Amino acid sequence: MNRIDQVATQNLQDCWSIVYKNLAKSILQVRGKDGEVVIRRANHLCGEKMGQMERENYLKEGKLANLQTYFTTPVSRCIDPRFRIQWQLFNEQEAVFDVITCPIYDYLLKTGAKDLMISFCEEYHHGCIMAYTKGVGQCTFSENFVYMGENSCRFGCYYRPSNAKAEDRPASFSGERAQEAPRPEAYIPCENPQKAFALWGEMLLTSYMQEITARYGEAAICALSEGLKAAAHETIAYLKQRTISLRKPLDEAFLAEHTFWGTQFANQFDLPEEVAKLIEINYCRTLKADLARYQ
Amino acid sequence: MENIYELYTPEELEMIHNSDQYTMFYAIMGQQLIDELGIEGESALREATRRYGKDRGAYRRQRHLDANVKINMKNLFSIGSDLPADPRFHGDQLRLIPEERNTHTLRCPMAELWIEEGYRYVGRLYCEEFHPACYSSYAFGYTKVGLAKTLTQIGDEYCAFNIVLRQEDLPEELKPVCFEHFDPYYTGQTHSIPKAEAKTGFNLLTLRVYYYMVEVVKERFGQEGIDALIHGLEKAAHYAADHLKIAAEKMGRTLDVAFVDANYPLYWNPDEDPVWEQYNRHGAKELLKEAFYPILKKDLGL
Repeated sequence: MNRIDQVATQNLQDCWSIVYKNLAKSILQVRGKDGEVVIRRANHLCGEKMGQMERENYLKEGKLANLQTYFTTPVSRCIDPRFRIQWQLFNEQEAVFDVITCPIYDYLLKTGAKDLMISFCEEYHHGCIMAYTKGVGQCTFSENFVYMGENSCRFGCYYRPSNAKAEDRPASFSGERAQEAPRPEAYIPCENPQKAFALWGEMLLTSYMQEITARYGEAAICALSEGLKAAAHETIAYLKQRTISLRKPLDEAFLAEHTFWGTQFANQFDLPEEVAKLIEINYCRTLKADLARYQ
Repeated sequence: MENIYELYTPEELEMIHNSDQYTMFYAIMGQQLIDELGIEGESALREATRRYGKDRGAYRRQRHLDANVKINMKNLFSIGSDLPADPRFHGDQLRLIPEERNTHTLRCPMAELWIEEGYRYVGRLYCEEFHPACYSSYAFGYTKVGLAKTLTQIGDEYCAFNIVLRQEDLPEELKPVCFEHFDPYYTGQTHSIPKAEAKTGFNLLTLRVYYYMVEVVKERFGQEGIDALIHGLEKAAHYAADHLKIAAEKMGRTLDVAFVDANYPLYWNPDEDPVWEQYNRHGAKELLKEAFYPILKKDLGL
């Protein structure tokens, strides 16, 4: 079981899953099967942005940018405590584990959108690890909840010094051979969950904007506007249920704590004006309007 | 370890001998590169394994294209495998469709031998580098290779392959090349592609994996690299001879050139091997003649 103080983080994760689900669904509705190309590319790009940022974070802090660091001390990421992971191998070069419960999958399954999971898993994590390892690592994915008869997801991430350029090795590895490391904690506290999820949401949205524009032109961004509005509607309905469980009122204060963009967008990562506007007009204002209706 | 001589037919034993010799040739040569050349040797071995994988993938693709076979996962894993069928291999096929192949390998004789002979690390390296390179190369670089569970990895009880080719990853011009439903005028496979046989199959694999080791080592190292290759070849020759002697004795056969030719992947006379016509670069064949064959012949007394 998770603690009461972890509930906000869980809700933030679900709000993020709602944004992902609705952006992807909207693209599929507007573009049909061809939209899957954008979904996959955007998920990969989002992963690349996160992997690249984490690498830079560690190097700035003077830490070795290897798999051990990546999975024990996330900086820009916030890990939902509902993730249950069983580790098999864990060291600087290898991160091999089974995901026993995944809140993203659980949410998509619960809301009839589990088909959107595969394209996320196959692309996002690969993008993360490839960017994090400067293109020389591997992120492989063998088993998946989505397949009939499988009840966990198996990930194998590998980052070998012998595949890295000689000049890059000192920044990532303490030696040529890796010693098994203590497993990451089941719950890794996050200093500012809202900031982390806002960043992740913005990486996702900007990736979708880049990919949809590249494939269909700027007008296609309308699909994302619709996706953001639908996400805001679903978020309010979902959080209403959560307030009932928590015996709290659904109000501005609750949204401020349990959503990452809230009812007024604060452009804390200096997004381009058009992206900030897209979020403010379609997501934040919808959230505000829906909140008024629920009150 | 099972007694293969009680379980398998003479034909199957020839397959097994070729398979084990190929497996150990790779392991001995690879370990030598790591032992002598350190991390740069490992780097070279990984690159050689990837080039070998890409070559095999491209070879399979060309054979399929020549037979008007669509380039997809179902066909890759069901039509004309270039890996001879070792009877000890056991797998469980969960899904085989044009987009996906999901299987569990329950028993892999290569992994078993590497672990038994103390070459788990090199075996692990092979699994990590070969499969992504080969399957990806087969489908023009668009295959996603999921192999996070392997028998060479500590703690795993089977290999879980999740090899996918997503149509949405392909450029428009490749969709009809890969999937029938994008090609309304598809007329079907024109001719059958035979599966690889023991001798010719493993010969092709052994020679090519060796060739790519030579190619990468020569690109990256000087005499030090050639020395490592020579030392590897010497060890591989001793191992080959020792195990050919055991095999002949166990099978109650005379250890002669005919036996060696049937039970060892490389030709007794490399000048008669047609595969060298394509791969005789970087002095690979000459090096083999100088460092490998004299020891093999001497150890066998032939």
